[in-house]
Amino acid sequence: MRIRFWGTRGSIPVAADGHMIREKIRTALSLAEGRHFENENQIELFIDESLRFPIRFGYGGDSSCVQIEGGGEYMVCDMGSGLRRFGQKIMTDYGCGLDHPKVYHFFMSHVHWDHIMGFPFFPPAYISGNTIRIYGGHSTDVLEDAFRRQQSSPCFPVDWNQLGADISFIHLEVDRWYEINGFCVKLMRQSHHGSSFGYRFEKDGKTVVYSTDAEYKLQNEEETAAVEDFFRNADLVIFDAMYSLADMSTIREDWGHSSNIVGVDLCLRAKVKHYCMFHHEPAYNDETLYTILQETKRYEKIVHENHYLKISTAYDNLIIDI
Amino acid sequence: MEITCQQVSDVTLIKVQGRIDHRTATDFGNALKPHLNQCKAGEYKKFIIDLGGVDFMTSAGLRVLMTAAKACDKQKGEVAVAALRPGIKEIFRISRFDLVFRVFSTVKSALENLSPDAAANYKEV
Ligand SMILES: [Zn+2]
Ligand SMILES: [Zn+2]
Repeated sequence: MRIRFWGTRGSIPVAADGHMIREKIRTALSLAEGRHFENENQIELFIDESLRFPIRFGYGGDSSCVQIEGGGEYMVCDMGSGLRRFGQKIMTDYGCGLDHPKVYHFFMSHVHWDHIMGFPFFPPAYISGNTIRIYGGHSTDVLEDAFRRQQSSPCFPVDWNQLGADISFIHLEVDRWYEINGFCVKLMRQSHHGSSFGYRFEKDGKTVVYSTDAEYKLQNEEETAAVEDFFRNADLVIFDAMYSLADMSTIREDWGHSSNIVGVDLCLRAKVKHYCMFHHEPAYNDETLYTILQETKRYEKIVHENHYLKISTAYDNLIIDI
Repeated sequence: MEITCQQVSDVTLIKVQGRIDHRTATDFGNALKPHLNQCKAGEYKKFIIDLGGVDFMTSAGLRVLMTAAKACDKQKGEVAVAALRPGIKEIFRISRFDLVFRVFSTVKSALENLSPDAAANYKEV
């Protein structure tokens, strides 16, 4: 199973501005200490081996969109702005693909704007012959209404009714298994404004959990045990780690998001293999996100006892194979 | 996890010992409650939580501290934590709890800050 991150930012897409890029260039040049590179290869080597991640690369700024590969048809969690690049990739690979009708399965955590804003910019939706199935734990009315409203005057020039693809909305219930595109899929209701839903996907003995826009307060053991159960033994958990614990329990309490260290505690309890932090705070730059990753790894080292947890921070274009 | 309590002038000194994780967090919260209820009664409004004996704490423990601090704050009380071991101190920094809690390296320094009167009457055991 391959997980491809098209968008990883929370709440609103962001872009590195000129100052940020200049700072990266400045740091890279300063670290090069006037050295001479014989060829392109040496430059690449210097970039990859001598520059830290936030200098040589970055986390990107597209909002939530994660593709899960491994079935015969396309499967994607959420349609944040990252969906635009996913659509572009398909257009590049297949053109209009009129002779290649495709089926797309979209699993919606919820329909807050940052999770649906990519859809109007998803070319396959405009092409007849394509099939788009949009699944969610919310009622089909709630789902469809959000998509239609975002794509109607005066918000967007192309009306929903002009889309060429065959689009349907499908309600999924929590706590039961579905078989979709060769995957076993289960939902969990999460605490978020208007509720959100986490997904557990299983196939060929591998499991990925997608749990974003969820405020895990862990206030009572019963509720926590249910989450632990949902995460149990997963190979990968993609988790809303937007805030620090102090923020999520003070000024940002009830904003519907979790913290980096709550994710560690839950994943350790559930004996998860790989914990991937997701839905990054838009105000954080690459350095901050990198620092948080180091701190989160350090926290794991302090509190882990007999289970080792791999920890990473999702970034746009990241690929994880499980 | 164990809690003992001592009144030093106008400061309630709460000494915690052991592990605070999801298994003991509820007990920790319940054990703190009666002391903080004093705060409600309006008698004593200054609390120092001595974490010197705590060798393990996860986010579950931090959340209990936060709930206690909030309850106290509502009653216009004051809470400080003191004597954190290196690992716990690091967890305070990583969780950014060091930005919302008053953290002191020793009980004595916490007392000096909260109540010079209590500091003068305090004898370390
Ligand atoms: Zn979101
Ligand atoms: Zn949301």
